[in-house]
Amino acid sequence: MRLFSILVICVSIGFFSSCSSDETPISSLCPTIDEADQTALFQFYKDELIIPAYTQAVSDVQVLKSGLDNFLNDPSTDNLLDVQNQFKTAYLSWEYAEPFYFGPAEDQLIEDHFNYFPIDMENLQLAIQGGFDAELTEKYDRGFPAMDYLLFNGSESEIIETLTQSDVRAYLLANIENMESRIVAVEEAWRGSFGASFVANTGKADGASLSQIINTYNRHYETIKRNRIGLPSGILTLGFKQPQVVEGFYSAMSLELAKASVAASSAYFYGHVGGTDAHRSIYSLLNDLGLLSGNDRLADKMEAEIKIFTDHLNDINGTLDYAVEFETETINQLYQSMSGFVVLAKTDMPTALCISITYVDNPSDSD
Amino acid sequence: MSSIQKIKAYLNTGVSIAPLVSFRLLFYGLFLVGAIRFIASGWINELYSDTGFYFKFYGLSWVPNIGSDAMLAIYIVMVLSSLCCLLGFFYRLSAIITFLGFFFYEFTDATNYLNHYYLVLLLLFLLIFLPANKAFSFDVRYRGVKSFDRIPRFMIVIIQFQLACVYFFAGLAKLNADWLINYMPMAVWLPSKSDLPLLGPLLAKPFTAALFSYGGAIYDLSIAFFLCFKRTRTIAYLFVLGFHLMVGLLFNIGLFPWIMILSTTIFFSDEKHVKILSKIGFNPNKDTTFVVNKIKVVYLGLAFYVFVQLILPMRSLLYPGNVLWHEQGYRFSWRVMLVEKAGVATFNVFDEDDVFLGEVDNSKYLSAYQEKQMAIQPDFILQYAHHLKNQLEEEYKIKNLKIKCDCFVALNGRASQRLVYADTDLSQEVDNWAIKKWIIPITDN
Repeated sequence: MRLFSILVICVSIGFFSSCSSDETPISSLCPTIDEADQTALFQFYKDELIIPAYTQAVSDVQVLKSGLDNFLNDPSTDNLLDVQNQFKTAYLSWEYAEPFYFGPAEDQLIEDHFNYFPIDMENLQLAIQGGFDAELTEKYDRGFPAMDYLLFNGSESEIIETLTQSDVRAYLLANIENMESRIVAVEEAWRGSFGASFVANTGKADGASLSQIINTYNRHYETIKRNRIGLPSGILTLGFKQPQVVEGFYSAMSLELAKASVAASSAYFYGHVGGTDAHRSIYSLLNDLGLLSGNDRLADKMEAEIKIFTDHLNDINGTLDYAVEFETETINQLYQSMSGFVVLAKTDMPTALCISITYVDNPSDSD
Repeated sequence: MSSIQKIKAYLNTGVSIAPLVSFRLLFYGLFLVGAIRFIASGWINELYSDTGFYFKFYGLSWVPNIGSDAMLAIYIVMVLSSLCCLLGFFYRLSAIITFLGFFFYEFTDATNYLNHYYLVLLLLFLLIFLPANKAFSFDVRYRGVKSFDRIPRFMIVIIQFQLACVYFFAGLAKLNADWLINYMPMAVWLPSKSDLPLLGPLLAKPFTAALFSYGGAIYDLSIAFFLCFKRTRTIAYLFVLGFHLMVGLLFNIGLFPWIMILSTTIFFSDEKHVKILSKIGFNPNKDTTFVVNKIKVVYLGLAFYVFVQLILPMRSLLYPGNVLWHEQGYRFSWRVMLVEKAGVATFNVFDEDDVFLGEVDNSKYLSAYQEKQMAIQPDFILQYAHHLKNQLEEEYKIKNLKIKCDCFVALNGRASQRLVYADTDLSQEVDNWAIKKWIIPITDN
């Protein structure tokens, strides 16, 4: 018993002396981020990025909805062109809201209902015949990809003929209704209590806002790399190309959409669209904390790699499906440069910030 | 008497069967709860629904993949068999069935390996051979099995030894620079729990990580010794309670705290166990001692078991470099909570002329969780590379594919570095006990 007591005392003394005399080595590995800086960061993301992105997307989806109503009431060529343009505008706006897949967006499974692509033709036919079910998930039969196909596949007269069939018409209306109600709910939550709790949710706990930002940033980036580039290009299928699985294949806006999603990812990282000046963002946080990857500043390294793959993307012309088929070298370079960035974003950044990657979580216990 | 004879005599002295009976009740009771919890949680479906590909332990690749329905059936059988063990009803048979069921479960997918499952498996194994049903059991009451009140001491000591191994080796494993100097991974894990009420704000403080690191190491290294001695036992057990409950509160470790809290009661004296058990009807024949036949064989088996348990955790010393990084000799060694690793493993496929054909979409072959685990464990990377070669050659009808891996891992706060040489065709490397030369040693930056 005496031995035990002595041990306990020694240990305690050891701790307290180490605590009082020299605290720096203890905190060297994990940066401390001021509470106020965190709140300011979250406030900035909420007010300058997330809410504006959703507001724009909501408004464009509503315009698209009324355009669709208008066309279905009066299926003229002019009205079709109008609704097609409204579709393109809304799809592009959506790209800027897509990265923020947590909180209300996750509650609404908004990605599933808005943009699971490529469209599954069989499921889409079933859904058109059987009626739209807003509760189904993982069917790849809805959202923008479904409209991309229905609004753009075929000649104008063919499209008009398809769209005016009663089951297709009902499907389209139910689909846009579902999209509208979900995205409105997300926007409202951000303007209301979720937004407030997001700003206040400081710290490094798993559900804390910083962890959400880092995790969803990574998750979104990987959807660009895998779904938008990797799968159609054939890089993930030993060279067997699938140009028809690009996002926005029928409306021929694949490249625009890919560029928008990369721009949205950059905006997430830098705190605004384009450029790198003083905004509160992941980038500014890494810089302010002076975090390193090896001997280099992590923020600089990431910035350099983002520039490389953005440049590669900008080298592409026309549509992504064309590039996938005929500009293999450019696409390969783009993909390789995107792979390099994943390492920084998914291992170095979370490690430097001491945040766990939780979007892939242990399903049961750990030890 | 020679010292060997002394030890033999000591180990063969008759002691009360009560601690073993308590252990049977507590351990199988907990196992039963655990099995029901596992079924209720839906994890079986989540972890075993896809019969595609599972990672195997070295030498255990023969364990078949049976799918989630069969796994559920095994779990239901284990619920029944562990209940029988708890009651001491057809004990030996039930103990064997429970062990085999859990063995099968544990070795189906190495992705889900946890040290405390391994401990449970070892205890289930030992319990097959121990006469835990020879008192206070249905076998004694209804099946005419003879009851004894005394058993040779080694039957208690072997369980104590096993538990002491867990603690001591877990403590030894903590004596590394990451743990003692950088307080990793505690420095990352504790702040991630800072939203807990009351304790939370404390957890974010760097000092707390240091306290946990040193406290944890000292606790692990010493607790078994303090449990052995009567004078320190009670206070040591209070530490057991405090330590495991706290760790259980902070980390997602399931029933592990309860396994240790309940199992370590085996260190308490015969009298304590007799006193508590007699309150619920424990009343074996007085002065009857369970005699072991073929004691030499038993001692030989025992010595072998002890030898293996001492050697296995030390085998990592045979591999140069940082075991936390290369993980050779990492499992079955009581290395718990030592690493925070994040990795990205990208597999590139080449034809026989080294022409790049494409990259592998890992999500097609692995669950997200398998992929996460694979990216940080070299032997999984190797197994997966072999699997990919077979899969892809069949799928694409191409022969002699080469599989190479771009793998970057960040260990305990370091910047990410390459884990394996990117120009190695992993499909040609063999998994064995030799040093894995295709792993790049870690550099401390």
